[in-house]
Amino acid sequence: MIAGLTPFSAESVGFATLVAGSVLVAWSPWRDKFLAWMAVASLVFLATWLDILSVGVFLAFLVPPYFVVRGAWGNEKTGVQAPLVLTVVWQVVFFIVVKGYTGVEGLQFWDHPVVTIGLSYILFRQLHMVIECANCGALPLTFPRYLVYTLSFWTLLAGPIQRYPAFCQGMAEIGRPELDVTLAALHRGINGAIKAFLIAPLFFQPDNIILLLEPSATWTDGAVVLYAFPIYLYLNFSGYTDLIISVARLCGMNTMPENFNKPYLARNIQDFWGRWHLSFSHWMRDYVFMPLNLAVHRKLPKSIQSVGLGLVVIVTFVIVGAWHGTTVEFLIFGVLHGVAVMTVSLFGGALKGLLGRQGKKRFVDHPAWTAVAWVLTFHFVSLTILLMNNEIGDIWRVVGALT
Amino acid sequence: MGRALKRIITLGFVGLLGFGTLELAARTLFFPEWVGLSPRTIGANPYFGAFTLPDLNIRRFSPANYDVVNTTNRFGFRDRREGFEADLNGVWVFGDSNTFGMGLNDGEVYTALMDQAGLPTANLAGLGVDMRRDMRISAQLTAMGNRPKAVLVALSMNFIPVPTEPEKTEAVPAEMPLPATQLGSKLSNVMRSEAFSFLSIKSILLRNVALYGFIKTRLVSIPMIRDRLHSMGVVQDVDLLSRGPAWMTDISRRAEVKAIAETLADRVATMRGLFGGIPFAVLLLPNHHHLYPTRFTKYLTRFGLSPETQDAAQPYEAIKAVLEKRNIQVLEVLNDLRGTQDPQLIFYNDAHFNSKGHRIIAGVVMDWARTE
Repeated sequence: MIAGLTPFSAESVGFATLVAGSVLVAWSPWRDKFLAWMAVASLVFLATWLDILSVGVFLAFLVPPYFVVRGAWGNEKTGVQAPLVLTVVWQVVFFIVVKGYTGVEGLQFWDHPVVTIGLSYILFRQLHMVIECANCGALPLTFPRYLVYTLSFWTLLAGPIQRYPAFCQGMAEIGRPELDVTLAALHRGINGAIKAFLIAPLFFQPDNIILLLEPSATWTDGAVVLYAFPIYLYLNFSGYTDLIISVARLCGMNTMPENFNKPYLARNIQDFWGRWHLSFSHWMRDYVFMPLNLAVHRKLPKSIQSVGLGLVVIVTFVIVGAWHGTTVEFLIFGVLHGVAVMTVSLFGGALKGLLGRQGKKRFVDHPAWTAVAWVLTFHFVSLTILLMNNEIGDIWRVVGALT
Repeated sequence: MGRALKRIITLGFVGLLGFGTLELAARTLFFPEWVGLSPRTIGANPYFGAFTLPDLNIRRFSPANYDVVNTTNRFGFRDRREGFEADLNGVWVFGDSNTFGMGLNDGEVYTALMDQAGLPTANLAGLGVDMRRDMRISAQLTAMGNRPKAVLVALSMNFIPVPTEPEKTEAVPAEMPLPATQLGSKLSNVMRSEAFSFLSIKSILLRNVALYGFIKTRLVSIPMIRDRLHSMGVVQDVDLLSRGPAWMTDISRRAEVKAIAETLADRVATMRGLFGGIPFAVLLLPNHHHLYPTRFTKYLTRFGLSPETQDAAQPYEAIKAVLEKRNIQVLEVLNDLRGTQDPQLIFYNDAHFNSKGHRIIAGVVMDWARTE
C-alpha cells in the first residue's frame, strides 16, 4: 500500500493517470520503451493494493513459474513434461489455499487475509504459458515481458484473458493508430465508462434476497431482486471490458480479445457461454474441456463415452463456478450450468432424432421458439446469478416462504 | 482538420496525465489531510437506520475553522464508548449538529463538559433537526430498558417545514429499504436537478479531488484573498448565510413561521409524553444573526433587505411562545451568550458554536439539570 493512496480501481484518478501515461508513451518517439513503462506502471498499480504479506505471496506465486517456463521455452522434448505438470498442480493448489476456498482456510498459516486482487486472471495467464511454452519458442520471453503479460494494470482486475502470442503481437504493434481508429476507441471507452461507472451502480444491491421476507415486500421487489443484479453484472463487466479494449487500441494494440457478444440474447445456455466472458470461456474450452474430452474419447470404451462426456461437462462447469468464487454457492452455480448445458445437448439430440436435421433447424429458428428459448435462458441465468449475490441459506428461506 | 483533432486528443491525454499526477501528488505529498475535509459520517446504523455511523474515529478539517477528531460509540452517538450505560441513566440530550458538536473535539461538546463535571449526560444528537428521528431513538433506547433522569431537546433555529405523515413512536428495528425502493431512490437521485447544482458539484469536488481542496483551503487561509473571495461570493461568508430558510425572518410570513413552530411544538409535546413525568425541557439555541445583530445588519445590507421587514428573532420567539403555551419548559442561553460580549462564539466561517459557546451552554444546562 502507498500511504495516502486508496487502491487504484478502474474508475480512480490513479488508473486514469496510468492510462494517459500509457497512451502518451505509445504515441511518442519512446514507444520502444513501452514495455518498461508498462512494467513500472503495473507495479505501481499493484503496490497500491498490496501490504507486505501480500507482496510476499505474490512474489511466491509469480516468480517460480517463470523459471520453469523459461527452462522449457520452445523445448518439445517429453522430458520437460513432469516439471510443467508439477507447476500446474502447484500453482492451482497455491491458488486454492491463498484464495481461502471453503474447507481449506485452515491451511493458511498467515494471521490476516492476503490481498488476492487479480489472482484468478494471473493464474489463467500463467497456466496458459506453462501449457503452451513448448510451442512458443519463436516468441520473445524475458522476465519484464512475463511480468507485463501477467500483471498489466489494465487487465489485472477483470481481464480480458489475452493469450501470450496475441500479447506479443500486440506489443510489436504499439504506436499511434489512425485517427478513425483513435476516435472509435475513444467512443467505445467513454461508452464503457458510462456503462460501468454511472449506470451499473444504480442496479447494484448486495445480499438483497432476504428482504423479500419482509411483510411489505411485493412482486416488484422480487423482480428487482431477480433482474437488477444480472443487469448490473453485464453493464459493469462489459463496460469495463470496453474501456480496456479501447485503451489497448489507443496504444495501437489490436489483439485484446472481445469478452461479450450480447449474452442476454442467448437462446440456450450453450449459446450463453459462447457470448459471455468469451476470453474465459475459450480458455476453459481449450485447456479444460477439450483435453478432458480427448481423454474420454481415447481412454474410455465407446459404450460409456457419453457418460464420460457428461462428467467432463460437469467438471468443466464446476471449475467455472469455483473460478468465480470461493464459496459453495459458486460450486452450485457451476453444477447447475453444467447440467443445463447437458440438457441442451440432450434436447438438441432428441429434436434431431424426432425431426431430422432440417426439421430441427426449422424448429429452433422459428420466431415463437426463439422467443420462448430466449425467455427461458435469460431467466435461468438470472436465477442462477442469484447464487453469486446471496447466500444459499437466504435463498432457501425465501423459496420456502414462497412455496 | 485531422491534424488539429489529433493535437486536441493528444493535449487531452497530456492534460489528464498532468492533472492525475498533480492530484496523486496532492493526496500523498502536500495535502494528505484532504480526506478530513468531508468525511462520511451518516450511513446504515444497525440500531437507528440512516443515522451517524458507529465506532467512528475520523478527522474533520475545515481550515480557518477547525481541525478536530470526532469519535462515536457503538450506537453511533457522539459520546464516550466506556461508561455510556451510566450516561443513559442520566440526562438524555437530543439535538442537531450544534449538540453533536460539529467542529469540536470530543471533550469540548457541552454534553461532554457536563460529563466531566460529574453529571452523566448522554449525547443522542444527530445532524439536522429531526424530531421523528429523536422519537425513534427514544423508543428504541426505552425498549432496550434504559430510562433517563431528565430529557433535554436542543433546538437550533434551522428547523425546516415538517412533513405531515404520522410518526412511529413505538420501538421499531432499523429498516433496510426494500429492493424496489432502493432502486427507485437511486434513480430519482440521479433525476433530481439539485444533484447538478453548484453546491452539490462543490461538495463532490471536495470529497473526491484533493487538488480542489488544497487550492480552496490555501487560498482561504490568506486573509487578503479570503476577504476578496468573500466579497465576490465565491467563498462562504457566514454573516451572509441564513441558518435555516431565509424567509423565516420575513415579518410578512410570521403566520407561516408560527404554523411550523406549532407543528414542531406538537412533536415535542408528543415526545415529552413518551417520558411520563420525567423532567423535560427544550433548549433554544439562537442563530448567529439573532445573537449578533451587527452580523444581521451586514446580511440585510448585502441582500438589499430592510430591517423594517426582517426580524432575526422571529423563528426563536415563535417556537418559544408555542412551547410555553404547551407548558413545556424552555431553557434560554441567549442572554448568557450575549453577556460575554464575545464577538466570536461561533466558528470563523461556520455558524456552529465553537468551544467558547459550548462552555456557556454547558453552564446553563447544568444549572437546570442540577435543580431537577
